[in-house]
Amino acid sequence: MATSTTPAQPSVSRPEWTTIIDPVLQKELEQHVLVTSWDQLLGMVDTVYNWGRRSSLWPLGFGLACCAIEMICTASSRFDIARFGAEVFRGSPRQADVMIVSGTVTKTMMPMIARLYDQMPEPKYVISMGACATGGGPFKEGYNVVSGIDKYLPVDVYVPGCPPTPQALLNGLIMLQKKIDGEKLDVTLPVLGHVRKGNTSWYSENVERDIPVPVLGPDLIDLRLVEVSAERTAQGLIEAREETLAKPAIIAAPKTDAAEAALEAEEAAAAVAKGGKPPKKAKRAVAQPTLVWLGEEGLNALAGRLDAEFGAGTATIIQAGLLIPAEKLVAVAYYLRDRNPIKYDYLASLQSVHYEDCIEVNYQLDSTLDPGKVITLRARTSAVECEGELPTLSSVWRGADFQEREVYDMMGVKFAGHPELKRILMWDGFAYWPLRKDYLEPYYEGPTKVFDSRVEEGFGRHFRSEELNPHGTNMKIPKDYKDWDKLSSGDDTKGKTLMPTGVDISELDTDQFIVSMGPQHPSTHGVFRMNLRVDGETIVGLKPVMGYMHRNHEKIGERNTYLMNFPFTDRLDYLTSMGNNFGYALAVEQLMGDEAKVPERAEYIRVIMAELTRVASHMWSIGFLLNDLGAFFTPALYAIEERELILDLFEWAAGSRMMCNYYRFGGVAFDLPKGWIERCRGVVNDRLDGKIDELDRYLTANEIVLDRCRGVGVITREEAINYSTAGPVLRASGVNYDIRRAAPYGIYDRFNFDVITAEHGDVYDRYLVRLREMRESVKILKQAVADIPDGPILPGKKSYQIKVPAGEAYSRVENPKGELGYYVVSDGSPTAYRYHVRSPSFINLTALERMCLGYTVADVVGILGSLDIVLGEVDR
Amino acid sequence: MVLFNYVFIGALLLGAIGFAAAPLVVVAIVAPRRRSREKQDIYECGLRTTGETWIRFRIQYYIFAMLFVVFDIETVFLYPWAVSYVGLGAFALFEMVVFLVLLFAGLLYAWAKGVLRWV
Amino acid sequence: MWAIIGIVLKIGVVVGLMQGTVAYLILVERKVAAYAQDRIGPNRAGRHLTLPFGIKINLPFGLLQPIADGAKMVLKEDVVPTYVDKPLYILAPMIAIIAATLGFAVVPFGPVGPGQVMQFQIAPGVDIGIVYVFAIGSLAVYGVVLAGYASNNKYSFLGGLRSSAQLISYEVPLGMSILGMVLLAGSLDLGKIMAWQDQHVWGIVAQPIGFLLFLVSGFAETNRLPFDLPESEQELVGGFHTEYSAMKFGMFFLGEYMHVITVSYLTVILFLGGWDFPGLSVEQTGLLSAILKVLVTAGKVSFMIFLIMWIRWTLPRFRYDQLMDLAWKSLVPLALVNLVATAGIIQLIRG
Repeated sequence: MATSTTPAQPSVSRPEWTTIIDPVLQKELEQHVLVTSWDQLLGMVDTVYNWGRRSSLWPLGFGLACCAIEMICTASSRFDIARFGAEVFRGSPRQADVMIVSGTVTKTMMPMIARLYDQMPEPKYVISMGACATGGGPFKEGYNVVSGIDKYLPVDVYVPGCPPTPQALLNGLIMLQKKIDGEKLDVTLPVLGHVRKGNTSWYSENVERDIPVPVLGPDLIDLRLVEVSAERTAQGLIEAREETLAKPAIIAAPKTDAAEAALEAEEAAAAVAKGGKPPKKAKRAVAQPTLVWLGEEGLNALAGRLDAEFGAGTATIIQAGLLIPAEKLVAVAYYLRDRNPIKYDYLASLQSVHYEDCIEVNYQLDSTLDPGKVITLRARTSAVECEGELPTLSSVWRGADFQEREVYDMMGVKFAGHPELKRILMWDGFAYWPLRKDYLEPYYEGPTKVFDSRVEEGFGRHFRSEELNPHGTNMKIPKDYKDWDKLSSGDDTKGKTLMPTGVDISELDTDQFIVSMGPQHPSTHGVFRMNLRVDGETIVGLKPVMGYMHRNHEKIGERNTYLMNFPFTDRLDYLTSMGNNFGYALAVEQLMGDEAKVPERAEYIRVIMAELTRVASHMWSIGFLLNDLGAFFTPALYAIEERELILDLFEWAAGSRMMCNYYRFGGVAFDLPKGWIERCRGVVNDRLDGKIDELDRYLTANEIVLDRCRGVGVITREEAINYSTAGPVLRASGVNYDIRRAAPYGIYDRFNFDVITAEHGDVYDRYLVRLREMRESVKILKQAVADIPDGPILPGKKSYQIKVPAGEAYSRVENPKGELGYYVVSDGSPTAYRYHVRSPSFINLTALERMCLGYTVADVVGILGSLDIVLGEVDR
Repeated sequence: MVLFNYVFIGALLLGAIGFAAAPLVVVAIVAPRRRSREKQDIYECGLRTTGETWIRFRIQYYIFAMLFVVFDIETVFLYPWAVSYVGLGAFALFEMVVFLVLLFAGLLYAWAKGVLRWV
Repeated sequence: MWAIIGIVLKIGVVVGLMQGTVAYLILVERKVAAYAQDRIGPNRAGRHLTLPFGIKINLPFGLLQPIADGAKMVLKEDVVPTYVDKPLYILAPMIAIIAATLGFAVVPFGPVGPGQVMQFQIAPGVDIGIVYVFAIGSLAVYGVVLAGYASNNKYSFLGGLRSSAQLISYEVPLGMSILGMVLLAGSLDLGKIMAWQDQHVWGIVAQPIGFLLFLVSGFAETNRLPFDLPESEQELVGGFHTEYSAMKFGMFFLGEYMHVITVSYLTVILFLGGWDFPGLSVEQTGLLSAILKVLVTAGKVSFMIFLIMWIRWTLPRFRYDQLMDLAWKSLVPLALVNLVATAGIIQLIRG
């Protein structure tokens, strides 16, 4: 666990005047009083110094990803890192001693981490927490992931795990303490000169021990290696290597049923003409946008209405979706929103697919007034790189704003008229459009996992993916890139163009300043960043900057087999892994149809797990909202006490506290262990109500909470819908829209519970909605644990090979953060052709700017807390 | 003799200065020192900072400062009055009430003008 | 000659004790936090230690934690960023400490007055007493403001500005809240105010509103939650001390805790009867009673300090404008009304 950096014993240089005494006598003397040698004296200094440092290791307060949650849990009452004197998490690197790199290090974040490390005063230590920080972990293949923090920073202790449990982190801390115990100072005294060489080097004066801050150029560029990189890039080694590899398949876009049939007939004829048998008809999934939708008749009627309104050929039905020509898109959108009998006022999701002949952007729409009538719109544009262009719909549904930027960022499709079409997850200047099918990641090995063995035949030597890449690292730069000497670590390309302009609010000529909150900030809930323009303390401009946690979930999802992708969904919103599993399972089950019919017992287990997750997540959210309001961790730690009990249940059933990976297509992975349900009943019936009452009692009528939360961050009902906010944020503005009721999935229609709404749409109401939702969840849980039947938990045998018929599916679940949607396109192969996550945290952030303007810096923190974002899900 | 009492404070001041300076001196001698470009830079959440920090800031702060001066001086006037109040007659109360009412009117004026509203 | 040695000794002992107390208060704070959050808190530092010469010690409750923190801070690199206003940057933490130390000069930590065995006060006989404390206390704001300004960091800058406005705003109700007690005791001398309480009633009974005002303003003056806006870690990272490292950062902390001690002493002296306790009276001048009185005062002060910590680990923070509203729109008018009412009642009683 600890790095074995015990170098050969340094030779001790004794001052010349040291007298040599009889060894026996010396031993005698040492045992009693005297300091007999320099070594011993310095050894005593070392002891005191080392003891001081080991007992007072203050961590830098910053968390990157999932591991950060466990890091916070380490400070909670169950584990209590304070025992080691290390609970003093300092926000500023100036006061920190140890940097706990807790989670996936992305390329976008790497410059910040290097700079923060540089800004820490000596002596400083680094703990690499978790698989990602150590070597890239499960996300290693990602194009935006640094494969190990030790590529840049000197790491003292590695803590394995994904994520490591709090105990493991504590063990890492103890390891670090042991390492510190063995340190010897390098001593230079004024008169005597260099007295002793130690195994530390902080004391050498005026030596640059700077880690050069890497630059976000066309890719993350390590300035120490810039010459080598330039040379290898110019040689075109990357391109040469890629030519030798199998490329991912690229399929044609879906066609109308008639065209499809014609094509099939043609192919069959061609095959027969060649003398073979006609190919077996590939199985296709039932064409439906999502499980609960408008229905075929309704769709036909709608298409007819659109044709009548905008001329024939406006709406073509393709695979239960309406293909709209680009030039009529905006008009159709306005019609659907305002004039259609079912008013489609809510843009549920928007994503794009790269096909052979086009890039298709599709929009899932729903109506909050008449929920459950989902339709899909399709719009197509050129598949040629950077040539695709569609009109923006952000004027119709503001919720399209960030999602269109994401499509632009990932596929290079431009949206004409978009107010701020800039890269959102990657940085300006990144050389590629990563989700295009023709983009291969730097560590690309093949279109489908499992990749070839990494053990060389006959040698037993294990090689790493770094060795496959000509640069020896996760880097890929176009051959024609020339501006190597213009790279400078002072440029923060990311977010540079997103500076809020702001307005003058005072009559007097005062200056405003731009301050960046995040990516490393105590209360941005991870590596989220806001560029603020403040006048006094009032916010006059705000631009969210995200992508610091972008770990290429979707691209990796297109390499993994369907089953292998489950554990990745855990790591989206790492506070609600069970809920994430649920949504993903539903999406693939929709494609699989009756083959994946979930047995009764499994349905109950799924609901129990999902609702336990909701309670745990809302507790966390409420606790940390209070933390954001300035209550120092006490409410937060109280709130997560019960969460620990829920995590225990998860661990017992699934084997892991946080990353449960528990759901399977058609059921769940394991049956509940013996005694589980009794313990769950105990928690549900005896503990949760009490805890919710406790929170209610202390917080709901608390004067300061009321003062700080009421009337802050208001978003009206209409805006909430238009901005596509979801979950508690939407319901706090008075919209009765909960997927569990609007488009029931699983067996939610059997349970008796209320959808909680509030009226004002402020921070307080969002808090209140969450609090009350927990009560409803407990209500559901009580019914479910009482009624759960015996029986199988999977429709058939456990299987690692899943056949998913071609087709597309969009599943929606009501996750604690809001509507979580998975859009999956299957081409019948073992991996998803396109895999997209509609993440509630990400889309809720669209409304952040609207909510914050005019409030103060202190409010922004509270508003962000009330949105309850999780960066793993925002940036994916 | 009254002044003699302040000698103590003088001695304490010397002690305090010594106490404040000592750690800085010790640190300057024993602590490691390594300069570097990034370390000496301004901290802003891991980014390079944008724009000036020392700007013309909102006037509200200065208005509060002015209010403070007014009211602090008022308080200073009140102390001697309070100490010797026992020895003074009812008229002293009346006088002070008049004084306070005048000041309070000032506060109300500032309040009405919206100066006390923080932005 | 002996007098001077006595003075020096007294200063040495008191300041030394205070430093030690402050260092341990930080441990106490961490322990209180742990207690509030159902945790254990620091308990490793001091366990199973082998000192040079083979001395083994084993202390419970993390008793050596402050020493470990101190040892680390002294030997930690002291970063002075390039862009700071260097003289001010270095001066600021010194001011914080000097002001906090000086403020304690006239605070009696035991019985004072003629005939006592010893004057439990660094500078006895400074007749302006409480006014001096406030005067010096105001200087502490310079520490924070200069730190915020000199750092050339936006978070520090905001923190410093907030701080200046907050501290000066709360100074007004703080000063006014004690006028009632001054009226009653007829003196600014803290010893006399204690004596008055011994002969009559505790200040908290005579001046309940005054006590409340003083407590609230005292919290604000010491930058403690719910008024810790200059720091406000959740918004401004570290507020005014964001750019400070190692010992300079530690000095702000020491200053803050010294302030807490001073304010606690003042609260106890002004409103909780100081050394007053059933069985103790102003006439007793013996050594034993003096020691008892010192202990009683210290006990009450400990309770106050605990209260302050307890509140810190319980409540969320006010927002800036709410804080200023509270000062100017509630506390100042209330203090004025309280003053007039007190004066009026005294007048009535006197007839």
